[in-house]
Amino acid sequence: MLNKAFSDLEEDLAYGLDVIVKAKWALVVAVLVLMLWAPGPIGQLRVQILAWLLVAVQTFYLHAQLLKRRRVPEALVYAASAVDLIVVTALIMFQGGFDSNLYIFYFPAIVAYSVAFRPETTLVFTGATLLTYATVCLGDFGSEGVTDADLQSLLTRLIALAAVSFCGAFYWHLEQERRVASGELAGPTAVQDNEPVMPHGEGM
Amino acid sequence: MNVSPRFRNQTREDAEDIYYGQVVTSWARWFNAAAAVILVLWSATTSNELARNILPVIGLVAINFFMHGRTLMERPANQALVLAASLIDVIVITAVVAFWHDDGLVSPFYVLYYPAVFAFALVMAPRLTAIYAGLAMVAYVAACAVADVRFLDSTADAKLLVMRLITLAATATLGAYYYRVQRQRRRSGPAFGPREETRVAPRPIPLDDARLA
Repeated sequence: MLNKAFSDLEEDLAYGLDVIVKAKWALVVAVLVLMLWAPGPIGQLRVQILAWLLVAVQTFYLHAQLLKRRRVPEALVYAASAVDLIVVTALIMFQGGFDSNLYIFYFPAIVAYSVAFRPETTLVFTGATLLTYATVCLGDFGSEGVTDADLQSLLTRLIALAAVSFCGAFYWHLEQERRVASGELAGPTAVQDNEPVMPHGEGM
Repeated sequence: MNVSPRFRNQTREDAEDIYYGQVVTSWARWFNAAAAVILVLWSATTSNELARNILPVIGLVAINFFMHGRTLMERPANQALVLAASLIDVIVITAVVAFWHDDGLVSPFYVLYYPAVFAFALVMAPRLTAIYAGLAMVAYVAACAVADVRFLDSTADAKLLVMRLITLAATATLGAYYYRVQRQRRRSGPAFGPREETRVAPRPIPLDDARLA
């Protein structure tokens, strides 16, 4: 028996975790294609295989929790998204920094957490991601020299990543407003004798 | 013609989602317009080039003033208008990828598809998102082909293209999935709320059909 007040934040995270898991599977598939199709040098491939294993095992664990309808600790949900971002950044660093095309893997990861987390948390995650990516690229420029076209390209990437994050966070906010308008959200409510199940489990 | 209540409800839900959500597509367009303005101002070397290149950007900004302005006046556009504006987004991005400086597969501007497709997926029904994302992907491949017909000769280029298409499809799918999750959430009420008998039933959103049309 649980005497616990489930907050809206927990409910949002529970729904959002489902999206995050889907995004992680997309990352797993994409990295698999990257590894197996015209593989790069052995050093890069080693890093890619390790990254793939890390993300795949973590995704399997989270998906298993969802299927078993178990509550996943809040911190673990945040960590799951952070791992995606760290893995993508590591892959980019090992594949040439700015010249690497793997920054596109940020998009599914950002899409997932931007609709799952509160906008303030999304802002922190996206800010850290953009800052890290920009630092990696600028460090790369420092060693190789930079052209206007490179800077324009970097700026376009950063704006597109920020745009996706903003759209997700804004939609999260709109959905909150809609639920408040419909009377569904009237503040945190106490729950008694409820099993801590994940919502619905549709589409799993 | 008899229309089933289920179909009528779903149509109304679609219209409500567009009514409330379309501002997200406007914001995605603002980001893309901001990127375009910066790049046009930065990359132009002559007045003529600047004047020529800024024209489509001004067009995009004008469309967005209209769309966003309607939302602010609480008279959002209907589905047809949102679809038309979204199609224009894809056309403009494709034109930039196909013809602007480093064109085709080497163009860095393909990333602008991502916000446009994601915002669309959050607002429109998944079936429309599938069509729109498919269209954007076909348009991107076509833009690469227009810039260089032999762009798929190299395995590395083909791999690059496939990776981009996979991530674009994933972005659209995740947006559509979240859209579906939110709709089911609205239908079923709070997941962790009080027990059924004490739960406050969600009220229908007070919108008349005329505003949604």
